[in-house]
Amino acid sequence: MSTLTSTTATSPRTGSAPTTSPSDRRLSVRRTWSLAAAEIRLLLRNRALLFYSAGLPILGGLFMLRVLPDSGDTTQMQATRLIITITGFALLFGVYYSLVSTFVARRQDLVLKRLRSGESSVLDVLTSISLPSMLTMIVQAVVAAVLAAVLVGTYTPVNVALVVVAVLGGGVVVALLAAVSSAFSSTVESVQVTTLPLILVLMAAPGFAVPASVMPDTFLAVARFLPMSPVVELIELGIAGVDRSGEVLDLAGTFSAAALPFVVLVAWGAIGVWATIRYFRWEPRR
Amino acid sequence: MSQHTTHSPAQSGDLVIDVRDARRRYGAPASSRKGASRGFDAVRGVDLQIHRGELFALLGTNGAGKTSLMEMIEGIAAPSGGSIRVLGRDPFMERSEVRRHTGIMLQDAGFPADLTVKDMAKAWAGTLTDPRPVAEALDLVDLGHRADVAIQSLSGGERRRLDLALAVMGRPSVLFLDEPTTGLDPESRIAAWDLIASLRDAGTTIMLTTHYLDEAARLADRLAIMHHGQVVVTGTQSEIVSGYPSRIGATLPTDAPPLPPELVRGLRGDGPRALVETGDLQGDLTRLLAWAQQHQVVLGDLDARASTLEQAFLSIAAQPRVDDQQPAHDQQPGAMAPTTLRTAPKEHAA
Repeated sequence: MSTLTSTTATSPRTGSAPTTSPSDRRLSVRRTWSLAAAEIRLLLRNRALLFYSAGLPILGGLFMLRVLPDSGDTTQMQATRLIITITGFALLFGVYYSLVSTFVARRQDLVLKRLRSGESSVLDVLTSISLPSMLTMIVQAVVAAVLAAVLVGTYTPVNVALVVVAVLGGGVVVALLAAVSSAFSSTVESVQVTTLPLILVLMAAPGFAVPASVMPDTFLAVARFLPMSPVVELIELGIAGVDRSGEVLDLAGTFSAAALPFVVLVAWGAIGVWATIRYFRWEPRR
Repeated sequence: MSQHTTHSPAQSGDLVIDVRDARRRYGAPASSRKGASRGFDAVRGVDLQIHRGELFALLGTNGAGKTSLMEMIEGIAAPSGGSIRVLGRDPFMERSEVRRHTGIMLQDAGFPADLTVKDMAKAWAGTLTDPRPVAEALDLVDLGHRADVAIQSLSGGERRRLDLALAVMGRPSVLFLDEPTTGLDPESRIAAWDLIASLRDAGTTIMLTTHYLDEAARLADRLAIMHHGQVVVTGTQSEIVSGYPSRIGATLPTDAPPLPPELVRGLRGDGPRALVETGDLQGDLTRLLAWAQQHQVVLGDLDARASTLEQAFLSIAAQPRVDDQQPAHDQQPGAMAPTTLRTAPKEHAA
């Protein structure tokens, strides 16, 4: 944050006015929750968005379970697939797509501008708008874990902590990408187009929409660094204990194998924070 | 939290808003190579001092920079030059410390259309340090009976009143109102004025912008008129008005004898229509009438009017842009408008 602070301090003199100051970046749980409660009401009143957020991912997961041929995977691996599919689509539609639409709608309706006139900090506002989507996504990840046990068979996750990191970290990264993407849409309608490139990038994570086994090695080497890839890898490690090469690891082994995807996830988080501060817009263009 | 109720009446020297040489530039900085032609200076060196308990009105033509200036004082935007202090602090850099004491009614801010009035008010109250109860805030603007209505079903005037309710909800000691009564029907306007006046009476320092001169004249203790990014004149209404002459107009017959010398001094314009600007309306009008009587002159369309806020405003609005930064060829010849009734206003009459 120190670099941000110094940018803010010097830019009044250079003429490019900053949009936030250091005293504007504190999170207040009380303020955030008050705004988030209103956002939850709004989500519940928006049937289309609710279906995207809460219905589509589960349907997608069930569809995958029916359509994919029985590959002879272990129960552990099949459960992992189902959880990755549902969580991944929840991140894609429930968090990314719905948040881009919501950020654009709040900006174009001048709601963001109003919130900037109150006591809420930028962090309060961004968090409160993201919270309903995040909660929906987390609930679906839990539902996915239960569904897997019911539909596929009981399984014992190898390292639950990694799954939690994958779900929460993935949620934060995707929410930040949504905040950045919203800057490039001027209407809620155009979101359908402007979200496509990143949806494709997010879907390209090996093992999410397309099994890693059918991807060429050179692509796999690069695709590990895509924003959604660490989420897939961490869930694979956490539930099945299987790493990229297909080797089955013990608990200690999963932690060391998680180092790279964890760093990739944190790096995307850092890029997301930087890009949000740099590109996020609080008002429509004049 | 609620010192606002214990504020003593306006004391001079108790500075609440202190603006020194504030500047705001959009686009490229003036120092950059392309800056001079690319950027736009919306606020060009404004000084303003507003004291505790004062109601200060900022008037100006469209595009004069009122909102750009207000946004800096509100802490929504950082100035590109100069200094701004609200309650002794920088409203932008020390936002969280200043904001809990201020209420802001923006010129245009939206609501999520699907929320009810009460939902919105509750959500907003939850973000404030010391909020009024939701019902009390809605009753202040007579929206209590509309609490369960979706915001998308409100009329424009009702939305504006909800804006006002949210702005005063945090019991601010400093209240910013950017065109608070635009879009209100006459009855709601008067109700809004009463509310604003009662907040001022309770010790709230209020800064408002308006296009309605009667609103400014009715509410403001002091006012400023902005034009092309600068404050042209500041003071009480009578101080500002006294800087502008009264006017006498009459159409004279072509064979009329010369006017008395006292009147000739204030004569503006040529042709059959005589326009006299005067600081002594009664005296000069008497002289004109006596002269007409003496010479048997019929004064056609005789018109005498004291200087008014409106006249001061129109007079300032007619001034061409005085631009020290842009090259001379940028000025359009057509913009050199005023040919009559120009006098130099007293700068900063206060």
